[in-house]
Amino acid sequence: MNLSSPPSGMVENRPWLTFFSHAILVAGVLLVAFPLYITFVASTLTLEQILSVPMPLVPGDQFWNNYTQVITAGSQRGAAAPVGRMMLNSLVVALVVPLGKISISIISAFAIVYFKFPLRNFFFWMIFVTLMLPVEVRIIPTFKVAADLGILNSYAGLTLPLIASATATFLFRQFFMTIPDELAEAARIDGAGPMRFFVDVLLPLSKTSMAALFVIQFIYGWNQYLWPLLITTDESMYTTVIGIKRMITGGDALTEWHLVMATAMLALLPPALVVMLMQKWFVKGLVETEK
Amino acid sequence: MAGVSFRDVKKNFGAVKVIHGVTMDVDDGEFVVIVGPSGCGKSTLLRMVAGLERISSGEISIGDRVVNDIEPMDRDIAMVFQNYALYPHMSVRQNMAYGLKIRKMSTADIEKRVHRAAEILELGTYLDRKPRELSGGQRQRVAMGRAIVREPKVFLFDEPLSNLDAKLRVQMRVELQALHRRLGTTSLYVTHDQVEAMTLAHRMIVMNAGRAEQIGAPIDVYQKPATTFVAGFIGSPPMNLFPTKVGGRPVLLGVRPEHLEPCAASDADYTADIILVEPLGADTLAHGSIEGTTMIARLPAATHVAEGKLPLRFDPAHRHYFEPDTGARIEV
Ligand SMILES: Nc1ncnc2c1ncn2[C@@H]1O[C@H](COP(=O)(O)OP(=O)(O)OP(=O)(O)O)[C@@H](O)[C@H]1O
Ligand SMILES: [Mg+2]
Repeated sequence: MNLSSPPSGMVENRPWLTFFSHAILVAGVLLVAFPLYITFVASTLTLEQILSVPMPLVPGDQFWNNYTQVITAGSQRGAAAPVGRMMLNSLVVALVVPLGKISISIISAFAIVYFKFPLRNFFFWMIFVTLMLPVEVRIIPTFKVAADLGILNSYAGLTLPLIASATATFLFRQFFMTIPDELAEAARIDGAGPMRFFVDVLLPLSKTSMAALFVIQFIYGWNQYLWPLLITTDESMYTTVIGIKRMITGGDALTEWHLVMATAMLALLPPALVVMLMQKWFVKGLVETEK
Repeated sequence: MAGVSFRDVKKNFGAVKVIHGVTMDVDDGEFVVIVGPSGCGKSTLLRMVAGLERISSGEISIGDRVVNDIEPMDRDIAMVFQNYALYPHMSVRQNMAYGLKIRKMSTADIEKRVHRAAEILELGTYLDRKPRELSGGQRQRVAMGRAIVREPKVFLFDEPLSNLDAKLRVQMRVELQALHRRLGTTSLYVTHDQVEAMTLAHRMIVMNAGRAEQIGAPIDVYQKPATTFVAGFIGSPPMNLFPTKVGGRPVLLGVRPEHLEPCAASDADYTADIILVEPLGADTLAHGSIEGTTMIARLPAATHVAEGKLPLRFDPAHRHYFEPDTGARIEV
């Protein structure tokens, strides 16, 4: 973005206006960045330094110590599981949820758009109605089902209930409906059966939509709080977000804030990385469709 | 190579009857154009040959094989769609090769066919481009290339030129003719453009509301339209139809605008009230009415006509008579 040369006619070249708009932007950046910076600084201090008033605003020398302790051992006073393990759990959830969601919903959208079967519309509406039932609303019955299935404290329990959702099915259905019928007909004349058409034509055309969905769902999966909190009681199945919560034991003095902050920094990294690495695809998926 | 034959082919979508029974034989190597106004069932008829639409009753055969229950890929046809329907994510080469790959043809043979098609259609330099990097005319060619590489028994075209601008359409029409001369493949071609129909067709099927009103060579259809519908649809401007009587029996007299000529008042068959004169350069159109029936005359550019009374006569060799109720042609 080129802020120094706004489109002529919209904003005239008035120095104070340029100054003013920049000031607001800088203030906005600081507002977002400052807490992050404090978190980072705190993660490099000792607990005593953090609890002293005022807390130092420059990074300390405990970076290596704090982070290695968190990753390999965890907090000794709160939950004692190493954060490395939690990160792994979070990663499993954050990968399985989007991959599961995308595969199931693209296949069901394919069925709904390209096949005629009895009660097709009924099934579509059933799927559509689940849009109104996010995890939080159906959490008690879902917990009961998970408990009966014996998948508490397991990856299956962590991911399956989050995979079942209609949003993605709906998005893919809308996308498929914009693909001209003649494309499917041309493929049929070329001799491609339905599955071949799906793999050779629909999947490649949906690439960018899938990438965008992946980014959104990765972050959704990584940041899950309520469901993992309910379904995991075993420390080895905690996700990072739950880990942070469990480290905060109650009294200020008892909590190892330097470790909490280091964990928070670690928890920030993967979603930020995914967004950065997939930015190009993500934006493409939101703004353009290749047809 | 093979012909296509229709035996009392009907089609209905639920309760709606769309094709009311078409019977005809397309000869091997023939170029047949299906022409008619929008919604008359041209595409439906073509799609039944392709196998994209089920045949409600009757029989379609390609060669000597009834294809009613045969899958499109096994019918030995290739189709070119109005919107091209190219695979957007595949290069030109991949678009053409896709069908052959599915048939498990060897890579070397595929390459050979794709190159030959690219050469015929002058697509050589575009082989690695994606469809969106091509102009409309080039996309159209790729769509034809995809049909050619299949080396099918029958080509099916559904308004392949109607998304092109007027100039390109004329050029592609000429290329299509050349292509057909070169390959000699039986072709069925749908259009609502009568110029395309007249120029491309060996024979044409004029359709109206799901019926084949007339099947014949363009010049025969033009010279002897079987119904008032055909008379009005083929030829532009349409044929004039005047109510009159022959031997005391009411009939419609048909005279084409180009067969009316101005004359001295004493020789006139009719006197027209001209209300609008349109000089088109090559000729001049005079719009008006004769005894209350609207009419158009196409006059040589050099004729000087003005609005008002205009005495006209017509060559008796070029008159047509039709039944007023059914619209059917009467030979007098
Ligand atoms: N899938 C369908 N379901 C119901 N009616 C249909 C269907 N497809 C076509 N029709 C009807 O059949 C009739 C013929 O359609 P068709 O597409 O063959 O017309 P066409 O001659 O190709 O017209 P155009 O020149 O506009 O393409 C139309 O009245 C159309 O509404
Ligand atoms: Mg049509």
